[in-house]
Amino acid sequence: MIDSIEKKKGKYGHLPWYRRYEFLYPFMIIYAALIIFVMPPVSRLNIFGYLMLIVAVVIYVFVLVAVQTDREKPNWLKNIFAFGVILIFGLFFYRYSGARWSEVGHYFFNMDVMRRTGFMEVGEAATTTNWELMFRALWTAIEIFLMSAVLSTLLALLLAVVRVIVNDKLLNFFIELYVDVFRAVPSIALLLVIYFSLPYAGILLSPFATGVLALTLIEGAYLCEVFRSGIEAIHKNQVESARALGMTAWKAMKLVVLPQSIKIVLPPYTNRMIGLMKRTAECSVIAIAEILQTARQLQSWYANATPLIIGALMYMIFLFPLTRAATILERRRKSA
Amino acid sequence: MAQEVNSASPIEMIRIVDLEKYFAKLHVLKGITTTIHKGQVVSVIGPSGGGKSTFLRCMNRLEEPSSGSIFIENVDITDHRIDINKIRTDIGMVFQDYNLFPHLTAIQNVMLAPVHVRRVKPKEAEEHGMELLKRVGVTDKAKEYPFNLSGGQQQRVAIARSLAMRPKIMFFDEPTSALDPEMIREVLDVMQTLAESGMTMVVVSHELGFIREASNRVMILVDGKIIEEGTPDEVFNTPQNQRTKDFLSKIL
Repeated sequence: MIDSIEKKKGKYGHLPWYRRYEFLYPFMIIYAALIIFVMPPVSRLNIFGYLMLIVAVVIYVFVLVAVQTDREKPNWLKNIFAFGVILIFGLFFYRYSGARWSEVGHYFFNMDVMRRTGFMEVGEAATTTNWELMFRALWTAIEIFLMSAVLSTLLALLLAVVRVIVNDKLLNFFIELYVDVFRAVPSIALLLVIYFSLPYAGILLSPFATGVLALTLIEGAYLCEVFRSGIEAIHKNQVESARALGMTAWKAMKLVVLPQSIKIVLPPYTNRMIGLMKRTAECSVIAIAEILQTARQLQSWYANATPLIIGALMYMIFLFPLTRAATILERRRKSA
Repeated sequence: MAQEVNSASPIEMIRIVDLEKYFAKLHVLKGITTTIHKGQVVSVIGPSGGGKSTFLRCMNRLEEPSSGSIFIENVDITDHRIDINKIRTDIGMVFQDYNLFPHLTAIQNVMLAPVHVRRVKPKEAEEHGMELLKRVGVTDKAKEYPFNLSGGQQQRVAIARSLAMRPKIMFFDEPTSALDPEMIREVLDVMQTLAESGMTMVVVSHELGFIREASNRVMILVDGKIIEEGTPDEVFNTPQNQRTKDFLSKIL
């Protein structure tokens, strides 16, 4: 009886199914690679060609899953397979997306466009290069960001602390109303309302002031919630023992609660700040010459996407330290 | 033995008149009237839910009394015109869960209130703080954060933190209930020395050994009323009230 089962299982009977056919993997990979490398670009494929491609991908994914889920495979092999997936999908995109790759350098990374001068300038004064314009735009964006970051932080801190300490029903109602309203309004809509509608009511604000005001109001609402949750996360025993020592509620907040809340609040706060910097791009709708606005103007003027790429890179480079900080803070909080 | 109070001219420290406390509809304290004199060490015992903690917390208005008055050195602290923060600086309070400030080191915990409330110069406060930490026996842990201290050490730092305000009265709200058995002794020793130094103390505790040795008055608080009080000997050996007898038979 046992013998017959052993016989049925055959040579690889003791192995799990995915390891039974391991000897086939190299051939499968070579087959898949051949198809992917040898097939002509997609526009010239017939139905049979598509099928071959799909089969190749399926084979590759199958082998990948089998290798990745096998605990006994060494890590370097898994890494090679993971890298292979990225490579193959990259190649797919490269070969079959139908893009004109030879044009990419010209349209997306054209430094010549950035070096040109005279955009929207007349006569001999036309000496500003597009690089300079972009950096001025970056500075404008940073200005808006810093202003609204500081203002919204102060506003939110004040509201959160008042809400917890004063704890007056009417006041809380208005704070909650503010928070709910401004969390529900898209910042772009608020920008447009303040900039284009308020002048009819006799309130005229400069584009810069409008941008700062709108972003501050919206960010303040979100941060208020962030701070409040941070404050409420500190156990009320802490406040009680501070009060028992004779501290006023404000002092207990300043000396005992807030220093402890910082650790809790910092990761979400950093994330909000990253979002705020990105939302400065929305100020382009009210004609502030910030990164997006400038990049779009340059892009349409020169019919070249390089300024947009440079603009995107500017956001990335400016935000990279912040995103790293957010990740590290998050990790540190989890480990603590 | 605890220091005997000079019965000839006892100085009144706390006088409580008809103190009542409701939590919504729950009647927790049902009319407490008593007087605590200077230098007395009063132990409050009783079954859980009897209002011991609430009684203590009403006396520095961490809980607002519903009615009645509490006089501390003849000042009615239930009067809302007085500055309760000022009163609280004279009343130290030690909690069951230590409640040290986790973001500050032991010595910073002790210094915080004197510097920011009493406006003592940081240097003076530190000197006094170190002195107090020495008194409670945690000098070597002065620069450590509460996280790195044992429960007993934390509670002793908490006592030092309260003493740093140079209080006239100390309240202890079950100071050893959250401690591991081997750490209870070190905290009780500190409390005992404090009692012997003549501090007015009100202690909610179930440590009968400590109560017998250190306190000179025991109150039994059952169902929001003081049903019996007297010296430890009187209360433990010859209880009068039937409910006291019931309670004592459970814990003795």
